[in-house]
Amino acid sequence: MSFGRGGLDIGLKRTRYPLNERVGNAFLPVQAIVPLGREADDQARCLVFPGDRVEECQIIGRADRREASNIHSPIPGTVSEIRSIRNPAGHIIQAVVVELGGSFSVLGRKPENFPWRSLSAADIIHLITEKGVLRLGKEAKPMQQVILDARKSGEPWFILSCIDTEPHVASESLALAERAHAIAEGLEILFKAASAGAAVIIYSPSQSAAVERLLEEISSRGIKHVPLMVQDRYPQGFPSQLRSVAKSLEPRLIPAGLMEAAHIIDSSSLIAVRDAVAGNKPFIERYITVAGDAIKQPRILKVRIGMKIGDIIEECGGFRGVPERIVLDGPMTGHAITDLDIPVGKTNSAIVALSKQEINESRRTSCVRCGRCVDVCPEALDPQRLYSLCVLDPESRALSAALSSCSSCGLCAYICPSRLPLLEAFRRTMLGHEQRGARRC
Amino acid sequence: MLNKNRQDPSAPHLYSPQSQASLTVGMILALSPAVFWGFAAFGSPAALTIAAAILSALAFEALFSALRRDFTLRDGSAFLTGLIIGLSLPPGAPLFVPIAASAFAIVVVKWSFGGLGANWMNPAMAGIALAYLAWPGAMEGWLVPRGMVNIQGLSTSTPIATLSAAGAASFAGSGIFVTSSADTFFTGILNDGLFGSLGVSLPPGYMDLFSGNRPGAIGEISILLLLAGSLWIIAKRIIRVEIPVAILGSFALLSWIFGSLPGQLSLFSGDALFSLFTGSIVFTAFFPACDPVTSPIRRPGRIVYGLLIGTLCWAFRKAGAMGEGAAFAVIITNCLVPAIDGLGRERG
Repeated sequence: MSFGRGGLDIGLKRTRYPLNERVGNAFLPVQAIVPLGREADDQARCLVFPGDRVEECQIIGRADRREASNIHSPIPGTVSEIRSIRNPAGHIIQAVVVELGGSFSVLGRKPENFPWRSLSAADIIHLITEKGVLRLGKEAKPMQQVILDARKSGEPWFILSCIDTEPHVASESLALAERAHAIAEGLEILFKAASAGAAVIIYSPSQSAAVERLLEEISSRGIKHVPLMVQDRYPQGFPSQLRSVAKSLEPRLIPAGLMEAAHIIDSSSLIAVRDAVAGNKPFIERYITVAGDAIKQPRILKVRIGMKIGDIIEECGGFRGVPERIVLDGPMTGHAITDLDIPVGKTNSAIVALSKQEINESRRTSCVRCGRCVDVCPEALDPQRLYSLCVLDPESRALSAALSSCSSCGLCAYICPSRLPLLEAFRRTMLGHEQRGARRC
Repeated sequence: MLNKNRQDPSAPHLYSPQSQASLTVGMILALSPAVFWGFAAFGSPAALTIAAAILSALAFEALFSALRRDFTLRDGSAFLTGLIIGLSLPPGAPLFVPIAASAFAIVVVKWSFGGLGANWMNPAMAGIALAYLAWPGAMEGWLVPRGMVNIQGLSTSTPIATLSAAGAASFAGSGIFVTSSADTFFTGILNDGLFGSLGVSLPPGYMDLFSGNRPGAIGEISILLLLAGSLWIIAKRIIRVEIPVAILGSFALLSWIFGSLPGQLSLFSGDALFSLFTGSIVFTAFFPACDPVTSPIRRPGRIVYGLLIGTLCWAFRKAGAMGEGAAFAVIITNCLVPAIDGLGRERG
């Protein structure tokens, strides 16, 4: 089963490492640089000042706008400064720097198991908000926003995507293998909070064994669900493709028309939901895959937010040779970084150090109209024509209409033998349109 | 909220192993068995023709790309154009023919329109068409392949020309051709083994045509080696299989229904196998016709493109003044590609 058109098997299976051999907990950061948000417009309001003592899991940033989420300290210690740092996109964001010190209030203690079933939906939503839980993935946003959106329709359906979208990244697969129980409980909590109807569980063939356990847990909790195995094809993990492949189950297994508006969630988010509501623990750590040919010992680590990327790479033996490019999150859609002192945030799922051979870079030549970009576009666009328009007539209406459907998967640029900067041209054009639109307002 | 437009503009950070250079090199490698056969069969005339075509192409490419302050010899496309021109020429053609054909292809068809990616006709096929039109006598410079020189009474014309001149309607049983001993041997093996059990029998002479023991253009004669190279580039996804399938399919079908020799025949008794094994149809179908610049961008368009080329090739064989006109079929269809290109495009 796969989504309708386009897409490509870009060696997803080949770059995933055997999970059981390479898992571990990262060392606790001696200094945590905790970002107050991901972008300039979703920063939480800082609640602490330099010199303040903070406990592990204490709230240090309060969300005062829709896009922001609460921020908590991943380590106990003292706030040394409120620093301006650059996020991977190069924008300035604020971060709270905490120096490790004092005793841990959560780590090493017996994990809590709060009887959440006595809570109302509103209480659960409040807890999720308080603990700063995000719905992760391509369209990351605060989990309470997802739930409130879902509640607008009666008995909303969810799509739980267990799959890892990108090559090298196996964070979701590990979450599925290690914490199926937590995912199931998180799903049950989410269902209560959203008064949900049912869920489509989407997984890939390599996850068949692990997903069995998950499905058993889900069934034993009485959650209505439909499992769906999909091929390992990029960009299956994207929202549009998830909905498209789930739609194929209509109308036999799912009432018609529901998948168009289904809400998408992922395993890591559900674990965070469970930890927040049943474990009384805020979102301060997550699985991060450290991979790529230029990493000595590729591993998947459980990492606290605020740990520096350079330190995480150190824990994996450092670099093998000189990495050609270091990418935060997946190699297809992630950000290339040069500063290894930036911290990981809630939405980062991977650090991939790519060697020159892996990247397959080559000289840019002219478009020869080979049509490969047209073949692979999962949104049925014509990248060749759109690129010409970007160059010759960037203001054209046809261009902006088409680009609004572009999901930035990057397959066109990946496959172009002439190495045309297709995605770059599309994104710059859209950014230009956006900025002009903003100025006009 | 993470806006998709805020994504790193240098994403994706991975590329497919295929690059423009690797695709072109793949095509050149796929042609090399046929090239070596041409050298082996025709000796130094063939080597000189191909060398002249390639060097001329490279020289003019270097000149014009220098005018554009670029060095495009690296992408290998000029080399490939020269190679295809050389392979499409008769081995005995005087050297000015490959030089002029390559010059026309590179300078007029490619660079006057803007270089790689901008040509609207296949440069190599346009160069060959020019050669046919400007120097028809020189284009008759056929030689007898080395494997066949010992056989008495073998004409130096191509099989198509010989049969047309004799007014014959079919190849098998025409009694005109002398087959080599290798042909007798292999035909015997196939008939005893494979075809005998299927109830059909392969007449003598076809193995000669298939393996390349016949006069013809340097690269077109060895169907066997061309197919070997083609299977490789199809497996490596360098060319799109629908183009050669559409060309050969339509050509073979029309040849079977209507015959492809000027002699009159009843319907459905044409010698499709002979038609496929002679002339440059197989060479053209897998190599020049698959040039991405001048072929449609989507699958439905490519199928129509292939059907058109196949039909035109058949028409030129059946009723054309020259023996065959594959090069003309390609460039005529190239001119229709802008109209074909819209096929299969999603509306809205």
